Amino acid sequence: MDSVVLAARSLVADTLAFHLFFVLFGVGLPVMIAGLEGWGVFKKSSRARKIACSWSRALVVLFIAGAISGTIVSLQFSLIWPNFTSFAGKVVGVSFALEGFAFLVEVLFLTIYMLSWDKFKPLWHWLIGCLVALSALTSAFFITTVNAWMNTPRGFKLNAQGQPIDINTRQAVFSPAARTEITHSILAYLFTVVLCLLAVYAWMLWRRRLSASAKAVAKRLMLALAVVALILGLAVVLAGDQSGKFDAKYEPYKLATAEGLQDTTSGAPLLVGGIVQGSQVKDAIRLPKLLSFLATGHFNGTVQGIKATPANQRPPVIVHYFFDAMVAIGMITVAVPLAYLLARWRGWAWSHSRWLLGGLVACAVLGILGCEFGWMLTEFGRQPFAIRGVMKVSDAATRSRGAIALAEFFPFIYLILFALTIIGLKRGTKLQEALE
Amino acid sequence: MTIVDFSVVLIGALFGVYAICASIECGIVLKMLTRGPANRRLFSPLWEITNVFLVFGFTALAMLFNGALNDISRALTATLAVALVSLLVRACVVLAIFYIRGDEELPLWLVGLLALTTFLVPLSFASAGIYLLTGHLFWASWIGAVAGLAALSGLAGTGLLFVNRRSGSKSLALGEALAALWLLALGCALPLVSLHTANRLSHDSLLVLVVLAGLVLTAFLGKYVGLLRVTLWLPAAAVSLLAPVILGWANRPYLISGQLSLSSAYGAQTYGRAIIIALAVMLPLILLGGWLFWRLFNSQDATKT
Repeated sequence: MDSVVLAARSLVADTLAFHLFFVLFGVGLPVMIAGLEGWGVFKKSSRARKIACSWSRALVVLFIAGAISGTIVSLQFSLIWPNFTSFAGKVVGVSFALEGFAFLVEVLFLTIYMLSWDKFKPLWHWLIGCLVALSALTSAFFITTVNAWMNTPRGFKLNAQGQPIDINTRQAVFSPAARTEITHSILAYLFTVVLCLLAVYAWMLWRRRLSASAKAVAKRLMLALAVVALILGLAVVLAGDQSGKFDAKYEPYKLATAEGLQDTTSGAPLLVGGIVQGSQVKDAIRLPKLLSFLATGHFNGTVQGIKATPANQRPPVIVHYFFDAMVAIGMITVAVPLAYLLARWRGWAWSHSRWLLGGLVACAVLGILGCEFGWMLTEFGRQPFAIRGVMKVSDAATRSRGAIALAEFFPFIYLILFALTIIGLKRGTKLQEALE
Repeated sequence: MTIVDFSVVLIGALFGVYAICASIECGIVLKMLTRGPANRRLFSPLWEITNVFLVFGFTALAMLFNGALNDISRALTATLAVALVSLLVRACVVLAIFYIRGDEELPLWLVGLLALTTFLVPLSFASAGIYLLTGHLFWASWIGAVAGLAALSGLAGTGLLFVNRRSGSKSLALGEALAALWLLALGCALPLVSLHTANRLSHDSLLVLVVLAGLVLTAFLGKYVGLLRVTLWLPAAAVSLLAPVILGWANRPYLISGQLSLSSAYGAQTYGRAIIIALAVMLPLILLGGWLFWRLFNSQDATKT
């Protein structure tokens, strides 16, 4: 692979990995803030509104880096991937444009929301918060339709020059992968944000620096957040199951590669763990017939193997690690809040022990990693194509050597920006004061 | 008006709104530089909304004229890389100023870095716009150099007019001088140089720009000699909004002057109308938001100053 394409790939990988961290908060946090503020408005609880206000301050800090990385993503796609953006623009450009509209409304009203905490009546302020949340969800919806189309491109034919003709925008935007991909990703963002909020209060209790009244509020809040986390976690698991079944039908090469399944098999086993060697997964734990069941709903169902896909169109088997990591994280992050809820319900003494609180804090980090692994599975699972079956990554990239310099330079600034965001969150949000 | 022409106007207007927001930011950071750290609260992290207009304008250009992306990528990666790096550095500085240093006194180098990056982002995009208008990078031709000067003086001048809009001073301050330089360059020098170098810009459209800039300059003069009592910031903002639209219109039938026509670059035949309908549907909401933001910003600004 030539150095420009490699640079373009590493640049977009760095940017998207960095941006995703902020995207999930940009989508999930407004929903949670609107939920809590709504509770405060209808139950006339000033404390709930105060806590929602502290969360919104965190949203602004995260928004700074998120808006910048989002701006850079949109510019990079045009500058570094001009062939891809030109092709995709003709077919699903409407999704990019509508995402832009939604993003504009989101940030415009987020700004108004932040400036008007003490200026509007609570109901009006909450309605503005709802608009921010709705715009965030709409923005995520439309941009995910583009990725879904890249995985299962529909709604056009190719002419002799390889350009799209007979374009059907509706078919392209609502491609087969759209439903499962949108549901799975947005639910995962919401789940991760709830885990992060839970972790913040678990961390405060872990440090043991709260007053008695603040501790009581934190515990009540954690109980509510754990219930929401459990509901969302189970929804993510169900959406993941649907994604697996979808992959078996529409993207079988991805599922086969993720499981290292060589030949088309009935009653295929699920491989857990193991080491990737060449195109195979060695030393994995084999759970008989489970892959068939997960993929088809039948223990003896047939699952297509890697060999059914031409050798030059197969994704790298490294996606097995991403798949396993995502699933394992999903299980752990559902189990820990469940354990916390059980302990609270049964009144067990260890419900606020340091190890369980530490486990809840770890779940936040794991949740973020789970989202990253999920997207890595999606992106690596489409290789070597940028648009599956239509345009290879090597054909999509720029020929400008400027991309190399950017690829070497950008990761360092991302690291600095990330560190400053974390420090800014710690100093600028005053989450603890809101509990007092 | 065809859908392609409408797309040119739409993209020009989006970059026009961005130009206004960016010039306000530039004015605020210049005031922070000259009046010291006490003025830091004039600026707010919420100003990051400016970048949304940038994304919106650039996405509209990339989607509606997707046939131009290869040319833009080949010619402008280095130019726009300046904006990308500046955006990242600026975000770091904003976080450092507002959330890490709290109420501590700000060192001059930090405010200087904020000012430098705040100027570099719009200037980088202005340079890209100059390439579309002339077909050359801005340092490669006279018209490019004049347009670059117009962009720089426009950002600083309009920005200073904004931050000084309540001062009531009748003297010809730096902001007015820079804005006058900008209007002269934009309204007179740019069309003259353009006609001299015969780079195909439409004469009629440039005449509109000359008349507009001339009217605003006359208002400046009227205020200076005491004949008029007007707020100069608003007419300057109107020129900022209209200049990209008029220059884009004057560049027809080209997107990249002399190299790529609008019709060859236009690639949104199937959904161009859908985007326009969506914009028409959402425009009231965006205008309502803009009005609310402006009122809240003004009330907050008044409290702080």
